[in-house]
Amino acid sequence: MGAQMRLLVVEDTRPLAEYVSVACHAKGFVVDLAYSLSEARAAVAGTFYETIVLDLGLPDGDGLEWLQEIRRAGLHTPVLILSARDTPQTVVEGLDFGADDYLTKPFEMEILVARIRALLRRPSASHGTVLTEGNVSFDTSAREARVGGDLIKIGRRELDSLELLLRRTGRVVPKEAFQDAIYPVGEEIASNAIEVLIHRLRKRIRDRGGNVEIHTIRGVGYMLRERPP
Amino acid sequence: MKSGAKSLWIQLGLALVASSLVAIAVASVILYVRFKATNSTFSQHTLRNETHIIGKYLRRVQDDAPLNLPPPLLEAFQEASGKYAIVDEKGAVLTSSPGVTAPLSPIDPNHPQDYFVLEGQAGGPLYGLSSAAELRGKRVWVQVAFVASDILFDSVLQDFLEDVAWIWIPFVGVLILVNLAVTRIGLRRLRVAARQAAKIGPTDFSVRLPEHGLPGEVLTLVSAINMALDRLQGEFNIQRGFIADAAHELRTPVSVLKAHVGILPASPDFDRLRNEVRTLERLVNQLLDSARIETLHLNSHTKADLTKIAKDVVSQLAPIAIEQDRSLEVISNGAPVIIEGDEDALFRAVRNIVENALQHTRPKTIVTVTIDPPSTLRVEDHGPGVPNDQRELIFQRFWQGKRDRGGGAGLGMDIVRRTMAAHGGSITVDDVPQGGALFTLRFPIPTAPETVHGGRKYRLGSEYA
Repeated sequence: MGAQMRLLVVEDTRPLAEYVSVACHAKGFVVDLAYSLSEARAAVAGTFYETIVLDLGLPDGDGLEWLQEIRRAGLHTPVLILSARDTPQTVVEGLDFGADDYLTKPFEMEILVARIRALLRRPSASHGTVLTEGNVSFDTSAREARVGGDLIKIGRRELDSLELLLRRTGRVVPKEAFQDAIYPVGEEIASNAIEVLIHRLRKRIRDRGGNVEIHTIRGVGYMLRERPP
Repeated sequence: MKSGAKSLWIQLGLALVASSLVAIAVASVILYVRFKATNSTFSQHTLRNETHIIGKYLRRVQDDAPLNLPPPLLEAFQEASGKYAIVDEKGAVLTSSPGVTAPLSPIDPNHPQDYFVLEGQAGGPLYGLSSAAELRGKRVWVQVAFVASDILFDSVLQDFLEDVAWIWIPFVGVLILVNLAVTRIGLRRLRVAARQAAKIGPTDFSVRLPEHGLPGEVLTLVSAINMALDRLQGEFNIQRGFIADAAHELRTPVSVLKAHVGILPASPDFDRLRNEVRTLERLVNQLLDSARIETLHLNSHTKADLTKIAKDVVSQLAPIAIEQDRSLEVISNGAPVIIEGDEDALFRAVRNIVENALQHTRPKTIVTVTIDPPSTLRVEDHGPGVPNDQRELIFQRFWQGKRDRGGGAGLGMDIVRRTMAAHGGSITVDDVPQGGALFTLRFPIPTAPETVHGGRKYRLGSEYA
């Protein structure tokens, strides 16, 4: 990553905000904290942020209203809602109001960091991002995959699959997502096509000394993560 | 209506029918007595009339003329098989109807008018009158007697009464039916209220009894019940709200704790600490889930897809399972399996079973969620299984068997059991032949099968990135 990424964490539970700050800082982000909506307003007025982590129940108002407010004002910074409200309706509502992701409390710190990184990799966030997990990386503009810095030659479908997995590391990517992303709509595909594809990708990465593993969650999808030490 | 307790309708009906019958019986008795009295007056009058006519004739009989009653006077006796005798003061019969040789009744000079009954006759007893008259200047007794049933007037009145009786019987029948119908209609609103009352469940106090159109006496009771329900609902909501609020409030410190643990450097203690926090988090979630079951409102329009639920639960838990060196899978034909139910509540129930299975399955084994159309979901692990004597106990709240020692307060299976009960389904636990526990959730087969759109692509609800 080149220039340091700047994050705004809007969270009124101070210790929680500080731990998030520590975790993000460890991953190379610069983190500003806002404990209320008024502090958040002041922060976005003066600084450009790559991503905003937003709590909903704040002492001086509801985070959702502020989200609407900044979206109407034309601010398109990716927003991740971090809230204890966990009913499907509130999640859907948050996304409808313009949030890019939603994580419910209590949360796993690694998952929060992984999701923030995923938001930063979005095409809308910046062009030509390099997705990285362990020693495996993927350049979204050059469409090149590297293991330990060495270019590996794999097919287009394997590359597409790797991109999907790297965009959501640590999360299960449903099988249907591969079908939708890789095969044209309506194309008949063999029932084990995705399986064969993932098997090939897995073998390539392993053969080149990659330290990530692709887990099969049978009947659901696949998940990529760094192999634990 | 429950057997044993007599229905109000039957009680009211019986009382009304009984009182109608008593009233009719009393009326009949009075009528009969009156009839008897009138009858006797009338027959006495008839007898007197007869003797009077004969007496008038006797006064006109000449001294030398023979004593023979003229045919018009005799007609009455022939027609009504009556008897007569004219007797002088000494008791000698001067003239009489055929076959009469002695006075019909002994003469009593002190009583110029004397009624008598003549027993031992062929056509039944004769009722008669012995009345003093004058013949050729001497005192004689005119005696007449008729069969009771024939006494003249009866036949008319008897006929009339018989006619009335024939009208009487259907009238009584109609009266009883009308009584029953009126009470039944009157009680209809009460039955409606009772049916409403039957809908009040252990957690649903929102039902109120209809007060519209109820009679005043019942309205008082129904209003009192409704007010009691208002108070109960208020109290219940406070209690339920408290558990939900408490659980919700607990999430903030748990979030802080978990975030703190999340930034600690890796160490053996770190892993243990993280698992302890997860146990705490799970308990808080279970308290919240438990409180939410109470607010579950199901109707035939709420549909849930078991396949989607299984995939969502497995998607959510797979990262943690993999981190703990276990795995998860879903076995289904991929098609939606629609049942009647609340998807959110069922998601939490299935998540609880799968979390439980992950706690007990051995490292490097797999927990399998199987969807078995039309309405069954199974969760199979490869752990120690559940001993036979504990298979009922594990579904009880806060029961801590060996199986639950891995953490959790024993709320998870209670949540599953109650969620299943709310859906009219069942949960059972069996052994897997190769070792392990098999939990089976069975739902009622939906009444109207959901049509599945052929071209629609299936998507995971939890994936919105």
